[in-house]
Amino acid sequence: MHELVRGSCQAPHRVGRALYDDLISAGSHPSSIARWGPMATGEEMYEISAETLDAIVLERGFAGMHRRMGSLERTIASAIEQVVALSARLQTLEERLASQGVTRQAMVCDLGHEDYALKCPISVVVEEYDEETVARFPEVEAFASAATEGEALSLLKQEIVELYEELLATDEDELGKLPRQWRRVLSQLIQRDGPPQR
Amino acid sequence: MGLLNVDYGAVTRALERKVGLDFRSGRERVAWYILEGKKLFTVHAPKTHRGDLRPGTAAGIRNDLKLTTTQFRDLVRCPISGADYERIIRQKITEGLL
Repeated sequence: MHELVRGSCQAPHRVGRALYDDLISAGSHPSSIARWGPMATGEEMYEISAETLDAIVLERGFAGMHRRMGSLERTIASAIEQVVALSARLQTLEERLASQGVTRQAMVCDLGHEDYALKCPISVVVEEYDEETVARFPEVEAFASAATEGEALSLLKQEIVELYEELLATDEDELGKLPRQWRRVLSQLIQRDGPPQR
Repeated sequence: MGLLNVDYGAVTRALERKVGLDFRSGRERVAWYILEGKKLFTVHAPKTHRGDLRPGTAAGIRNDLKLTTTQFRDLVRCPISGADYERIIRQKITEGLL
């Protein structure tokens, strides 16, 4: 690219051979460009009108703008790729949050059963999700899911009683390591309140 | 696709056909996983509704099955077979976890 410095008046401008060649190859007729020179250095010089110079400046301005537009387009394309990648990561994070729920502890003082009572309050885990609430008693791996905390706790109590009854009714030899532990835990926590079992 | 977005029907089929659970016997919502005549742990039945399991329920069943999230997904979506699952459980017994 040849340097061009536009003059401030309407007088013709002098340009070097290289720019002259550019103008000819761009379609300018040789007769429209007057030869001026050569200089003392031997360099060929030519004169072009202010209008021609304006046109060249404008064209080169557009060419520069075109290059910058191309660069800008690449930058925008890269930014869009990054936004898409970030959007996917954000979605993953949102799903992770939604799948974890909000967890807190709650105390259960009663099993809600005529025949069984708790010897002492037990601490259970309540997990709230958008569409469900889960109540868990991790020590015996009991859990219940319902729409509300009250319903989930009620179902959890029912589950604990049913598990306890089933463990008591099963021969110890038929139980694996975990259910034997569960039976010990529940036996320590639960007492029979009602009439003896028939 | 969520971390534990699994279809209710697919989970039920995996539990019954691969893990070999029978939710029609015993308690209504819970089945025992039995290996060599011993009851090792309980597994909760997915609640009946269409579409994906709710996240809390899915996490509970995954925990019941003693599987990681990835293993649970693989069990439901096929890469883990019934025999593979039994191997995982036997390994945990060897490690003294079950």
